[in-house]
Amino acid sequence: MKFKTLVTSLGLVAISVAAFILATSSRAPWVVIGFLCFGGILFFDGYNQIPKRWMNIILFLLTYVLILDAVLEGTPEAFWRDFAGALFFTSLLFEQNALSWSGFGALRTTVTPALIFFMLILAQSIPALPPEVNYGLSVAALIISSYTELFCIFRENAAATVGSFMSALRVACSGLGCLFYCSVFLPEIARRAPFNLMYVGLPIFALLVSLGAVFLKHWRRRQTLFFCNWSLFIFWAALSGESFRFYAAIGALIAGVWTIMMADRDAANPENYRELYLKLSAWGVPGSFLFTIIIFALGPSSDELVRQGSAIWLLSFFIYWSGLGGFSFSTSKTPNKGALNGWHRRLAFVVTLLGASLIAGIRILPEIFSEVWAQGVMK
Amino acid sequence: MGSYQLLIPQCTLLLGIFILALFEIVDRQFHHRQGWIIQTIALVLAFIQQLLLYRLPSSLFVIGGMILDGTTQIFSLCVLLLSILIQGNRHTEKYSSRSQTAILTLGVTFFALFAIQSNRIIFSVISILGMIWLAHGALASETKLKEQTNLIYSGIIRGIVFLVIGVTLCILCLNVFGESQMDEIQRVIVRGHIRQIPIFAIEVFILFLGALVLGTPPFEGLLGKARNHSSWSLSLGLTGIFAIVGTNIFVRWGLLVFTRPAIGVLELEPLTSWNILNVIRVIAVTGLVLTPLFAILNKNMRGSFLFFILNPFVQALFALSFGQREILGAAIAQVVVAVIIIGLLMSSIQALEFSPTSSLKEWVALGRRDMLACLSIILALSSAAGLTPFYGSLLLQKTLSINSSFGIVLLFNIVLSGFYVGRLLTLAFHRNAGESSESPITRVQKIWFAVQFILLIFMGIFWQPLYKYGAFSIRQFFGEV
Amino acid sequence: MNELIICIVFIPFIFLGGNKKAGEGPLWIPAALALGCVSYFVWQRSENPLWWGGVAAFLALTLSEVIEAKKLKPITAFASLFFAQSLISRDIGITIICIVMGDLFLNLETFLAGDLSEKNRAIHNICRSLFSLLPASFGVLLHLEGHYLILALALTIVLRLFAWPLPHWVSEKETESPYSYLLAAAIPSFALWHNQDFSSYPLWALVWMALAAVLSLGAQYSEVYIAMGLGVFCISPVHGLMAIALWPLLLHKSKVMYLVALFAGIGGVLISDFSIKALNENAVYAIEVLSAILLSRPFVSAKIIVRPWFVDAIDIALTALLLGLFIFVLPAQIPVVGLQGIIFAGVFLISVILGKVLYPKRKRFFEPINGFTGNLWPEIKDPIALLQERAGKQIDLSEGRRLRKFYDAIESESHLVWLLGLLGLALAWGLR
Repeated sequence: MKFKTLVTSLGLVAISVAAFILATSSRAPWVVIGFLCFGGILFFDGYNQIPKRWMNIILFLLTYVLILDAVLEGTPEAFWRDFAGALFFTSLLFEQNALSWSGFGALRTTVTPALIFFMLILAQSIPALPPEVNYGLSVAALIISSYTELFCIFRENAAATVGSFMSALRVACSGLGCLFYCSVFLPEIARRAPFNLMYVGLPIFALLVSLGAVFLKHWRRRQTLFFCNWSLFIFWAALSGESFRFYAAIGALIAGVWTIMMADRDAANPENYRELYLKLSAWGVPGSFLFTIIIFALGPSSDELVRQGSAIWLLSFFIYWSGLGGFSFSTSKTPNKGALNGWHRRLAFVVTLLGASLIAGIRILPEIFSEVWAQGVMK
Repeated sequence: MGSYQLLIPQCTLLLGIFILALFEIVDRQFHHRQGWIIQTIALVLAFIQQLLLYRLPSSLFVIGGMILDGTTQIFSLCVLLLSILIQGNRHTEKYSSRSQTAILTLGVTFFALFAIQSNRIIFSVISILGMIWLAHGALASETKLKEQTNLIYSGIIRGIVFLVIGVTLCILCLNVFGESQMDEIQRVIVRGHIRQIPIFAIEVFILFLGALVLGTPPFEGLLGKARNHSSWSLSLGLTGIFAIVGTNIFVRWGLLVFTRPAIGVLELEPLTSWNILNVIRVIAVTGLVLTPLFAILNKNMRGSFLFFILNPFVQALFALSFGQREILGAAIAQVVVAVIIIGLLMSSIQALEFSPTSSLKEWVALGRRDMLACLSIILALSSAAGLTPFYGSLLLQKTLSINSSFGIVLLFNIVLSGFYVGRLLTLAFHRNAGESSESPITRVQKIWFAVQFILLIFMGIFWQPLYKYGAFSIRQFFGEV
Repeated sequence: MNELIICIVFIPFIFLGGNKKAGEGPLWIPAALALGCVSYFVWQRSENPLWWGGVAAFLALTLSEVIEAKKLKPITAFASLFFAQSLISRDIGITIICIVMGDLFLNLETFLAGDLSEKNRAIHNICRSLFSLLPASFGVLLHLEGHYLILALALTIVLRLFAWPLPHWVSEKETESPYSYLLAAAIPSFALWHNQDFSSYPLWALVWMALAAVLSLGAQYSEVYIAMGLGVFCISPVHGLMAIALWPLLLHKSKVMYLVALFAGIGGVLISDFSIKALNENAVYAIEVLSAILLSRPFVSAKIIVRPWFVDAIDIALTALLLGLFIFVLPAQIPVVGLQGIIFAGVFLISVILGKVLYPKRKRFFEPINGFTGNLWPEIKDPIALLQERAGKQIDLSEGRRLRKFYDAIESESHLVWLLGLLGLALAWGLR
């Protein structure tokens, strides 16, 4: 296992270095963001899910290569193609690492959204389409990429994918793709009517999903929807056009990916405060890394629609938090299954605390980040 | 430059056949190991020689009926590469110890090269006839004794049918153009003064033959049932070789003869009033719909794979039918990728020891028993479907950018192909495998899978060299730029 | 410097200074740290007493608690720090964040100190406390102004302040630790309210009195008093500041309750007099009379705990000190009481006296009405059929006879015959 972990780590570093060398100065920050996301997945993989099989390692590294390739591409077609490839491999990992389930439903496999995504981006190649339709297809594709896991949520044992590296990989891929698209290839019509209604439309969609989550019995399936909504949140923040919100979206991406990996998968134990804190942090409750990002991303805006969207997002998050109203500890003692690496959990705890404490920089951090980004990116 | 240098690879193959026959005659028994080595050496040597021939000037027409330009070269290399992959996978094949199989498969490759490199239609027809008979013989040699007679009979009939149509075509060409040499035929058409009706008949024959050899549905191919009970490597490999030859017919006999570069734009225009490009497109469209559909409906694994490996060829044919320079190059390069796909498919299915009569039931939970081989198959099929990040997706993007109403059929092809791949992928990891036995795959096989898989991925991610190679190969169509 | 930075920086010191298991520790560490931080920020805002006045009242409240309980849990001290910062912040958004963090640490205190059921309650309280802050958050996010923003803030304050009709998330702890309740209710209410300018919205004073009157049907007298204080703030920030000087008296249910009742009455008088500017006379009369009667009920039914006189003297001294300080630094005019004020004062006084007389015989009329006791969050026990995890439709893996025959047909030589026929047809069509 150690050998496999070493190979994976070396592979990740080698790919990152190569991409960084090949990248122009405007694309270098994207390589860094990608490294932070994928490196975080590997680093916080306390259950050793990735090194468990060689195919996991190969597909993980290939997905990383594709995502980096996507953010280094010069044309939108090439970007979409690489992005779709990364999503396809992610869905492959979902199927490969899933527990057994019965029946067959095209709507119960993550391959279906990957294929739908591919269809949507292929349709964009048709030159006769007006730019509005083209943009609509892009948005539909990005929404599909955010809600990939929604397709597998109703089969048995779907809860096993929660907190898995596949889920984090999906968030990383869709988040990076959304951010890059909004930063580089977003057309001008996105900020004009009627497309600016998406500042409200996307949060409404997320709200409906969160209301649907109320009906889900298992908290793990609910958490799947939470992180699907989180991906859409990243897209919405990047779409809004304001620079501080864009940086918050970057933070949301990293925070979301890391939080998925840092939350443990055992039942809640009232005696283990550290694990309980990490478990609750995965819902974005106050005192968590995700909550800090929510505060940053829902900052004041001059756009009326963005303000309305922020309010709807808050409501959507609250509906997830309301699930805590039914939370209860089990009286029977459940032994901790799976050997978790001690230093992984301690580090996860420290990182989450540090992330939570970033809320102190609510006035100064956006300016600092803007300065760093401006130095890294050629305008 | 003499014409005989072009025959060096063919001579090497012929030499290989003779040595194999000699060994059997002299020793009175066939040593599997010796035969395999000789056959492999012959194929590899021929491949290298063919590769070195590429250093010659690209526009090389030889009086006497041989041709070696960019597309011919690329198709020849594909045939040889596929033959090497077939040979590599036959290393542990139960029936590979038969001398007949070795000689006949080498013969198929020999005739395939002639079929591609012939400048005269009659020579290509005879070569393809040789391919049909030898292929049937090779496939029959791997089946049970009681079925061999039927298969040989089937091969003879199919060969004769093809021969009749081919000879009719040649007679028509000679009557109409006074020539059966392809470049000369084009010059006659350009000069004009030819009635359109006979040209129409000739075009129909050519396209019919092309579709028949390629095997795109509803033209199920010239091999038919013969592939049902033989080894995986031969059945898939020979299907691939015939598909390459069929594509060559469309390109060489169809596009190169009946079209020319339009003035001012980088695309082909028809030389006759009957637009051959449109008819090729109709054939391709039918194939785009029926190929994945038949693969989905056929629950027998052999049958569905045999249909589905034609998908990249059909997509390439569809792209070729638009006659645009940029797409043409990508389509030709797609044939190279198709060869790698077939190779990966052959090796991984072989490693899983699937029987020829395996159905989808045996596929369920296969991924949990043997993940590497199963994923290799799935990824090969994904590449055949044209999914990202494989090369086929690039071709699909470029084809859709042409702005034709036929693009919707391509999207329909993706839906069906995607469903096919998705179904296999899902079922492979569906249930628990029960008691897992030790994987039959050796370490060498695993490395071989990995190499092919990485090659396939690299062709998709770093597609520029392959695309440029394809574009370079069709330079002759548009003249020197 | 950002108010939150200092708070966050001291997290490790708080935990280092305290005992992790019991949640208690040396008193001087958290107290000194909290005092130091608050003092620093107070010094930064020293030019305007309206900004540091709330903090002074908070310090008096904390001092009273420390003297009485002789201990201060470090986590509670940390929560106090956040609440104190919320008093100083001028940005409603930052105020809300400070309140959220304060609530978090109060719940953490509950979690660490309690048994399994308390731990469950602590987790439930996270969403309940967040729910109370939703209206104000919406007001900030939607950038509401004027009446709309004030309404949003008022809604949040009502949810945080009153334990009736919806149960408060710290109400169960009130009898054990009223300090926690005041931290969670009184201080955030004032923090949210005192940032606003009510010179254009005089009606809100009367609104608070009416709200306090209606909700007094089930609320405690401390809740009613705090609401009245907020109403007084709408009339005059100076008088509102003086109203919060009585926070130390709200800590313990002793005879100091009568002082609170007195100041509640004074508040009612001021509000009644002022409300004539917002409503017509008859309406004001009706509202003030009804309010006076209803507002007297919680004071009548309050159960007084007899304590040593010197214990109450400390609270009174602190209150007096605060009042003296505010009178000294703030220029306050002595208001002239009008007819409306006199009427309110009279009705209120009579109601209290009469209530005290009638209470032993007619307790039912004065006891607080029970609020909603059910589960606030409906648990969906049986998810609708669509959302259930269930086995999917099985795929048919068998191939039918007809399909098999079809494949046999296209694989045989006979299909070539058909294709040749098609070729002939194509030629015939083309040649016509």
